[in-house]
Amino acid sequence: MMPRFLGRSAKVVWFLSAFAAVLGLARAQSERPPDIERIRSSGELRVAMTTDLWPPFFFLNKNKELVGLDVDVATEIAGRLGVRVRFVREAKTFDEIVTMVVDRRADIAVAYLSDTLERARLVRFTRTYVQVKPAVLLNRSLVGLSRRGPDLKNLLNHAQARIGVTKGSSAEGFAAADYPLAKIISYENWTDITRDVAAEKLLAGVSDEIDAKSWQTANPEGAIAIETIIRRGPPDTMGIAVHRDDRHLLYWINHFLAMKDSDGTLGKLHQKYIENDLWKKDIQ
Amino acid sequence: MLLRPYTCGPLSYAIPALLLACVQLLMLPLGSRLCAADIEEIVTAKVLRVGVLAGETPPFLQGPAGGALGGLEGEFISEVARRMDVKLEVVRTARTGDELIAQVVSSRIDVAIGQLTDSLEWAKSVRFTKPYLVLQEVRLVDRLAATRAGGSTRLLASKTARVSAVAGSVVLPALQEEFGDRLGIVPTLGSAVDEVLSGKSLAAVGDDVAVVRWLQANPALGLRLELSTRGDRRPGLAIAVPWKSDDLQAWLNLCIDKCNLDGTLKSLVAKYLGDPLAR
Repeated sequence: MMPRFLGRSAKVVWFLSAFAAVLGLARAQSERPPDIERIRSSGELRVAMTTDLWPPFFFLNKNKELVGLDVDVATEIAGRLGVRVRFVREAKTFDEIVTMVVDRRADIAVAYLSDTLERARLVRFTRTYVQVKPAVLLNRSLVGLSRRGPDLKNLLNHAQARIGVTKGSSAEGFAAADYPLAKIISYENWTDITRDVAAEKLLAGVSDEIDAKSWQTANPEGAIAIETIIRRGPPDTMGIAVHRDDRHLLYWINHFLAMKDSDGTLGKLHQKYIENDLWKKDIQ
Repeated sequence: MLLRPYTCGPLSYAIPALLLACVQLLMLPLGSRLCAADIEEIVTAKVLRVGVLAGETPPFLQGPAGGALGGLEGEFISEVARRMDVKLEVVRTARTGDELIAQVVSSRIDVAIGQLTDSLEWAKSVRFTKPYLVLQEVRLVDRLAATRAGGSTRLLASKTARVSAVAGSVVLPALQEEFGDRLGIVPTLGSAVDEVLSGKSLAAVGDDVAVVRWLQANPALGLRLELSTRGDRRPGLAIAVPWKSDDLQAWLNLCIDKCNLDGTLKSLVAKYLGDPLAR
């Protein structure tokens, strides 16, 4: 309350001082990062994934529970934030996962998602938490008939080459960039690509070591008709997608990943899910 | 013109002046947020408000309240302010690390330094710089018990092993993860060692600086205790800044790099820490 004994000029000064004090208090008020506060107050971390399952990143075990490398990572992030995890498996393609984060239908995406430059225009990516080597499945008969020698680039980069890739996957972009002269055909799933490579409808299928190894394990006899090449080239790196405005959440997840990298947790996950295939015994 | 002044007397000047002043005051914070980066606000004010712990924590913070800051962290943050070409305004009221972080969150201070480690919990509300000093986790176990168990590693591998550590220690986050409710938090390293010697706990755990200083002060007990280190446990001490201050964080990271390159941090370590565990 304003003191009564003050003169007019003093009252003006008093008003100004009080106003400045209110402003000062407002600036000094506790202000926590709104992105993390939003998740904490909602009580859950919504993690975007595709409707399709992508073992060993996310798949159903024999008890029909969602498990896998990405599930482990996302569950621990949620736990550290003090909230429960909710997997939102609505996206039909990997690009749709990005849209879910952009539209705020999910808080983050941990979903076997490559941190491509194209996607990074729409969302922010954390540091790489896992990386996989690129792989190519080749039809041996068509390779022999082409008489183009063993060099992969020479073999695949010509107008008669038909190469299958999964629609909306990072391989779609890599194949177009690496083999610009070839006909790149987008498929709904990897199974159809391998079927068409075996049936000589495709010269090759381009993906990564996970897909290639999965196919090899499921079709050991297929090695007669199809050659699997795990490429030495730059690996496909996976990052966690975060909304571009969620700057502190991005900082915090990067900090989390750095800690998990230095304490060996990420290395153990890589060993468990990428280098070994013991997880396949648990798949539904 | 027949326009008549709408009012008369001194208030006719006071009211517009007051409105103008209010608008100007409103514009001040908005303008500074929109036009000036966090670091520019500090440089313009020529003051870096730093929060440190209220009490002395040698060899990290030394000197009485109100006096010049000494100790490794005191000298280091003074050097940071010097390189920023601003004065240091020391806020020395926080009793714990949690209170220091709360001061950063409330923007009462620009930075906080005080044996703060970049724990995930604190990082939810503030940003941390890269470490300006990396410590090492050290464990003191009863020599006899360790020998009987076949070494300190085996002794502590038991799922029932209980360990003790000092409240606020930089080793706590990792220990809490490893031992959960089997971690006893005590006020001093001396009381942690007491728990080991009484059989209540299997190890007293601290950082290398604290443990070596304690052993130097208690050489007789050094005979009863075996010292072991965890190579993978190297908590870093970092400066905390408000979550919005990413420019300031980047500047401080560069400053830490330069202080490492030109030997500033090395000489501070040599001056205050010596060489606890062949650092």
